[in-house]
Amino acid sequence: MRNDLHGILYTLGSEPALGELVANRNSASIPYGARYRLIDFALSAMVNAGVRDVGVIMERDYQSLLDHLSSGKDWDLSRRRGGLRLLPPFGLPESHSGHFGGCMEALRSVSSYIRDIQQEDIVMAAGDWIANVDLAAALEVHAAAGAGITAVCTRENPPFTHHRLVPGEDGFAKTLLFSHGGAGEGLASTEIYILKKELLLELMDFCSDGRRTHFHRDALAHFLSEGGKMAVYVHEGYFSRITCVGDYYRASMDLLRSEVYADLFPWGTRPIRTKERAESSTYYGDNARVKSSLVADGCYVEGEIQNCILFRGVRVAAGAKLENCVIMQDTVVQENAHLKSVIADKDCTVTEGCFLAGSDRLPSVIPKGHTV
Amino acid sequence: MKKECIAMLLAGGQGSRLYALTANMAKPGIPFGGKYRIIDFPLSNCANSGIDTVGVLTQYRPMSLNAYVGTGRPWDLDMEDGGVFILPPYMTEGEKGNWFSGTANAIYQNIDFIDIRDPEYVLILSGDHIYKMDYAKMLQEHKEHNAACTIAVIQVSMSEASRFGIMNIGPDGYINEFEEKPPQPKSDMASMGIYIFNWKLLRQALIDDENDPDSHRDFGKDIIPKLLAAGEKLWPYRFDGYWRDVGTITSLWDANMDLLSPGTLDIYDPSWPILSWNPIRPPHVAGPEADIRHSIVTEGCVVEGTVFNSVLSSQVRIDPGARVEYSVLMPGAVVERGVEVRFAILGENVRVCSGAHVGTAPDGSDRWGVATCGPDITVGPGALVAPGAMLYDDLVAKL
Repeated sequence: MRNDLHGILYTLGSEPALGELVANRNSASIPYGARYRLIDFALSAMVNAGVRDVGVIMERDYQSLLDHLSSGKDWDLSRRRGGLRLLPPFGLPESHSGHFGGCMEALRSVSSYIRDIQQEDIVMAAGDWIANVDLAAALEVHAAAGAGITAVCTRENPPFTHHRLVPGEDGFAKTLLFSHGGAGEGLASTEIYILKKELLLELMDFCSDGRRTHFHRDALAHFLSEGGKMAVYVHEGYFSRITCVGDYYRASMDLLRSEVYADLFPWGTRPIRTKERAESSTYYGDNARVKSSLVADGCYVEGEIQNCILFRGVRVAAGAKLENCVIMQDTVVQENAHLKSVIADKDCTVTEGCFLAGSDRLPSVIPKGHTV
Repeated sequence: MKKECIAMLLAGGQGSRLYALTANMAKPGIPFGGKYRIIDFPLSNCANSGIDTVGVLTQYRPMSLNAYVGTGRPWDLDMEDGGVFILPPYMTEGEKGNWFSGTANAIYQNIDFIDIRDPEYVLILSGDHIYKMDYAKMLQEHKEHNAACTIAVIQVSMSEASRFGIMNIGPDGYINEFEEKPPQPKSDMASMGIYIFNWKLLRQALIDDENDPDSHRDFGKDIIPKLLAAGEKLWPYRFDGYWRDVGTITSLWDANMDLLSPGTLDIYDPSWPILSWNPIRPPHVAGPEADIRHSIVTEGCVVEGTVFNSVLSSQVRIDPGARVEYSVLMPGAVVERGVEVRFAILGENVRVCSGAHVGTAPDGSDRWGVATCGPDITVGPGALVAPGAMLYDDLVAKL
C-alpha cells in the first residue's frame, strides 16, 4: 500500500580504504552477494516498505550507479508520478569543489528537490550497507512514538567507525556518541533515519551556515540538545557496512552462513531487487565440485569451488580450484588456475595454471578488467 | 504504422499428451530448462530476428500464459509501435462468436488484427517447440524465391518421417507435394510448423477455407495442400539446427536433458539470448554437503543434497541426504531428506516428503518410463512413485 514516506539515499563518493573496488565506482555501486550492488539493499528496503518516490543524491564516480539504477524499473520505481529521481550535484555554487563535506551539504545541494517533496515523512539512508531492514515496522514505531526523528539501530557492534545512540528510560534517544569502533554504550546507529520533512528543512536551515556540514555532528546533535524527540527502532537482523576491503570480504563470507542468507533473503517476503540481466541458469559440468557457495545465474562451472561467491556470467574452467573467493560478473578463470582468498572484480581473466592467494584478513584483489 | 512482417504465435493448444502438467496450464507456459517457459523460445527468436509485433493466440487455460507474456518486456516487446498482443477467441454481435476451431481458423478470426498492421508478410509460429531460428533469414529466402509461402523444414530420419508433415521437393527446389503423416514417406523433409505467407494471399486462402464445409481449418491439412493445388510457389526453408517438439512427457524430458550435453542447444550464446521473465530471487546456494554435477541450477535454489544430470528451475530445494538424478524439477519443487528422485519430472511446487522414492533408472522393460508428478502435489513420507507413473493428486504411502 502507498504510504506517506519519501526516500532519500545519499551515495557520497567512496571510502579510499576500498582501494581497487572503488576505482571506477562509488561505494553504493560495489557489487556484492553474487548479483547485487550495495545500493540494492537500501533501495529494496524502501520499496518493500511501500515507498514510491526515492531520490538518489550522488557526488562523484556515479557513472556505474547511473547505469545500474537506469529508470528504476527493476525496483518498480519507473513511474508516471514520482518514482526514482537521480540527483547528481546540480545546486552547487560555481566555486564549489564538487566534494561534499558531509550529508547536510549534500542535502543542501538538492534543497529545491527536498522542498518539493509531497510526503510528510522522509526516510534517509546511505547506500553502502547490507541488511534487510523492515522499514514499514520502523515507520510504525515512528508514527506511534510521535517522534520528530526515528533512528534505526542495530545491536551488532560494528568494528568500523560508527555513531551510537543511548536511549533513556522512556526509550527515546538521549545521547549521541560520535565515531565509535566496536562495542560501547547504547546501540549502533545504522544511519537510517525517518524524519518529518518540515524538521529536515529546519535542520537544513540551521546548517545553512557553511561550516555545519554533517548530519550527526551538526544537525542531530543540535536537535537533541534542543530536547528533540528521537525514537529508536532496533533492526534485529544482520547489518553490515562496507568501508574497507576487509569489511567487504568479511561481509561477503558472512553470506555463506545459512542464517545470514536466510535473514537477508527471507523466503517469500521483502525481496532484494537488483538490475535484471538476461541469463540462462548456471551449468555445472561433469567434473564440477561445489560446496558452501553462492552462485548467480549464467555461470559455467567445470572446476572446483568451495566457500565462494560467483556473480553472473562467471566461468570456471576444468581443473581450476577456487577457495574462499569472490568472483565478480563475467570473470573467467581458466584451466588449472588456483585461487585462494581472492576478490576478482568484473571482467577479469585468470589465465591457465595461475596461482594466487591472499589471506583471510587481507584478500588479494584483482582490479576490474585485469588479466593475471 | 505499416509493418513488413508480423508474427502470429499459436499458443492455444492443450498439450493433452503432457497430462497432469497441462491440466491447469497451456503447453507454451510449461517451465523448461531451468529459467524458461516453452514460449520463451519463439518469443526470443522474434526479438532476436527483429520482429516487433507478435499476436499470441490463446484458448486453452490461458491465465498463467497471459500473466507470463504480460507486457512483453523481457523480449523488448513493450513498445508503443508494435508489441505483444494476447488474442483470445471473442464474442461477436448477436451473442455469436466461436472457439478457434483449428490453426487456420484462429488466424481467420484475427484477420482484422493483421489488417490494421497491413503487413506484406505474416509469420505463423507454434508455441510448443524448442529451437533457435533467425526468422529474418527465412524471410530473406522467401523474398529471394518469390514464394507465396515458405515453410521451415528439417531433415528427420526416414523411420520417423511418418510422424510428421512431409514435404516432397521438386527438381526446381520448390515444394511439389505435401503429405500429412504419410505411411510411406517419399522424403525426409519434415515441416516444423513455421510458415511465412504473403498476407494478401493467405488472407484470401483463409476466407476460402472458411467457406469449405469439409475443411479441418488447419494449416497442414487444408491451407498448404490447397495452395499447392492452386499452383502457388511454396519454398522450403531448410533448417539444420536443434529443434524439438516437446509435446510428450518423454520428449519434454529428453529436450531438458539435451541442454546438459554440449553441441545440442547452446543457451549460453550471447548473440542469440533466450529471454525470459526473471523472478526476483537471490543467488542459489550449494550447501556444505552439496554435490552437483552435470546439471543446471537456477537462482533461488537451495541445494544441500546430491544432484546429478538434472535441471533445476528457480526456488527448488534439495535437502541434505536427498538424491536427484536425471530429473527435471520445475519452480518451487521441494525434495526432502532421504528422498530419491530418478528419471522424473516434478511439476511446480511439488513436495516430495522424506524417505519417498520417485521413479527409477530404466530397466529395459517396455513398462518403464519417466515418472511425472503434476504441479502442487505432495508425495507423502516414504511413498513410492513408480517409473512411468503420472500423478495428478497427492500420494500417501501404503502401510
